[in-house]
This record gives sequence, structure tokens and C-alpha cells, in this order.
Amino acid sequence: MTRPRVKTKAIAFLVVTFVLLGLWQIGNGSWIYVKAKLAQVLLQRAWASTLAGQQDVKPWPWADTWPIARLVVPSQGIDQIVLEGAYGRTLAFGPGHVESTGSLEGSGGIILTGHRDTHFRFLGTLHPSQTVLLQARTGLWHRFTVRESQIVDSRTASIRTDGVGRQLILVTCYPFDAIVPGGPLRYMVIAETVERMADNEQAGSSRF
Amino acid sequence: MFTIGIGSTPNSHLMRKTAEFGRGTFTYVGNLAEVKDKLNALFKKLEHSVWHDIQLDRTGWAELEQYPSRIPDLYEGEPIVLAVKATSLPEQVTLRGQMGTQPWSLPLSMKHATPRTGLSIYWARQKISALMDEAFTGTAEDTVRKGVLDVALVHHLVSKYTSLVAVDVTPARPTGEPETEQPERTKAVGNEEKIAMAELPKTGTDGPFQLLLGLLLLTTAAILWKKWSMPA
Repeated sequence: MTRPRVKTKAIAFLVVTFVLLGLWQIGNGSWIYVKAKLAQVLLQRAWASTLAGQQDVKPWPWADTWPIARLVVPSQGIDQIVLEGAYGRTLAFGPGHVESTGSLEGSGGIILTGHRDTHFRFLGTLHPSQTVLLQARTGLWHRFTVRESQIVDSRTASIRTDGVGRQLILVTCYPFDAIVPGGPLRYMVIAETVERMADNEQAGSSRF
Repeated sequence: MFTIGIGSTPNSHLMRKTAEFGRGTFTYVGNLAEVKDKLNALFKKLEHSVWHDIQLDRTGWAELEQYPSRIPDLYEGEPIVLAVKATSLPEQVTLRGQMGTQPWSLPLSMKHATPRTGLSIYWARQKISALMDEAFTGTAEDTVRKGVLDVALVHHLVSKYTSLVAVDVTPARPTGEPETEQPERTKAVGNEEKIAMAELPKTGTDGPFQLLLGLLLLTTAAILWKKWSMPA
């Protein structure tokens, strides 16, 4: 009862401020995950249109990217749409294809990057000999088998894209549970092509 | 013949050789301020007793090769330098000459001579020089060349026909291993396509950090609220 009234007011103000700030931060943080999930839903629709023959379908009217492939990892329950361009603005919505590397229709190595917190979190549990499927815009499925995973320092490492045989390289940040982003380490999964699956139906039916 | 070179660009070689052929000396004056001193010394030299027609007494020598083969006239204050090669040496060497009109001889004892390694080089240089001079006096180029090569190669000297070549004998790779096991390191850069990792975007989000910070703020607020509302 001896407590001054002013002090009570100050405490109440502090508590309210903390609650608001806390909710704001949680909202922001959650939005990253929500956006990643939500975008994939819209992207699946855009992908369907792409397979139907449309070129560079934008998943929403103001998007500056478009789906170029569908990434499926049966053992991890992953089914994601890959976007063209690996930039911060595209990676929020889905894994990005590094534009300077080979296209799915070509024969060179392909590099995909994704956020370690959302789309590419599964890389940590992806093990050698597991299968990674990639569907091109033509509807053709490409099957890759994981060969190895590496942790590399992005300041010094470089990736060869002219290796023998076709490679799919999935890159994300490492460590997966780091609180503060921006570290120099990268987690890299290298998968190699086994065969080119002849028809769409076979791959589709074997998985779904 | 006495040659005098003044200034920085006289052809020293030509003048020295000319003086040698003429049994005279070559005087070189590099600095104009020294002209007077040097020429005075030269004139003094010329005035003072000349010992000419100097010859080495050949008795006691076997297979003597002497350079310069014609010993120049001796003037005051000058040494006689002779490079001599022979298979056996006499104990005493005699130099004979004419002083004015008088015959004169100089006996030299060889007993106190000490061996020096560089002497053979000096002798060989004198021989090459003498052989090169022969080219001016009408000897065929081929003969001169052969003579010079014989001397220069034996003594490892640089001449008109020989030069020194340095060969690196330090092993460039381990000598015990076959060459094929050396790693191949010089691949053409253009053939390799590489993507630097640093070019790839960062893929960590602020999500976990923001969630953690948010929870921390809410917890702090709850603790504060509890602490201050309890007593009330």
C-alpha cells in the first residue's frame, strides 16, 4: 500500500510494452513459416498450370518468380515447388534454383538452395542412397540418389558443376538450429542421377 | 708506341692492344684534372732508363709456353708480368735484355715461389688473348677458334667462342618417386565450371530468433506482472 502510484503505472506500462513487443516478434517469426507454407499451396496450383503448358506462370499476381520444378523426396514426405532464382525474396516462398547453373532440361549440374528453417530443413535428415525426384516443366521426372552430404565454409568453398554424370546439389545454411542467422557454414547434399524416368505415369504411380 | 686515352669513352681494348703491338704502354686518363699528372708521369717514364729486347732465357724449361710471347719494353716504375706454363721449371730463371746499348740480365730464384690456384686461369686468359691477337695478324679464323676453344673449355672461361651455362641441379621433385605420381595441378581454368559458395544466398531466416525473442518478452512481462500484482 506504500507503493507510489506512479511506480505502478510505470510497471504496467512496461508489462504492456513487453507483451506487445513479444507478440509482434512472435507474429513476425511465425509469418516466415506461414508464408513458406501458404506460398507452397499457391505454387502447387501454379505448377499444375505450368504442366498444362503455360509458360512462366506467376503464383500470385505480384510475384516476380515462377515455378520451374517440383521437388519430391518420398522418404521425407517432401513435396515442394522450386522457384526460379535463388534470392532472399524468392527463398521465402520455396526452394530457389540458382540461375547460373544448369536447367532441368539441360545436362549440367543443378544447384537448389532453400531456407534451413523452412523448406530445406529436411536436408539434415536426408541420408545417402535416399531418392530425390525432380519433375521438369515438361512433366518429365528425374530421379537422383543422394551420394553424400558435406558441411562447407562458404567463404572458401566452391562447387564444381561440370562433374562426371549429372548432379543435383541442395544447399542450405548450417547449423540448422543456430539462433542468429548469417553464419558462414553451409550444408550441402550431393545427389547423382541414376536414370531418366521414361514416363510421367510410372513415377507418379509409384509414389502417389 | 704509347697510347693515351682521355675522357670516358676511349676504346681501351684497342688502345691497350695497339700499345702492346708497339711494345709501348697505354695510359688512361679518366678525369681531365688528372691529365697533367698522368702525362708528366708518362714523360718521366719515357725519359728514364728503358730496358728493351727483354727475353726469357729458355734454358732449363721444358715445353715452355709464355704470355705475352713478346715482352714489352720496361719503363721505370713498371713490373714485368709473365704468365708461363711448362712441364718442368728450372731453379733459376734469367731475364735478358738491353739497357741502352749494354746487355743486362736479371736472375730470379724460383725456390720461393708459392703455388696459387688462380694462376692457371690467368695464364689461360693471356693465352686466349694472344690467340685472338693472332686473328689480326693473319692466322685463319678456324685455327684461332680451335685454339681458343681448347683453352677456354679446359679452364671454364668465357671467350668469343664459349660462354657459361648454368644448369640447375637441385631436384625439383622427390627423386625416389616415379614422375607419374605427381598430382596434376595445371588444368585449364576455362574448362571448369565452378560456382563460388559465397555467391549463393544466405538461407537462414530470422524466424527462430524472432520467436525466441517474442517468447522471452512475454515471459518477462508475465514475471513482472506477477511480482507487482501479488502484494496488491
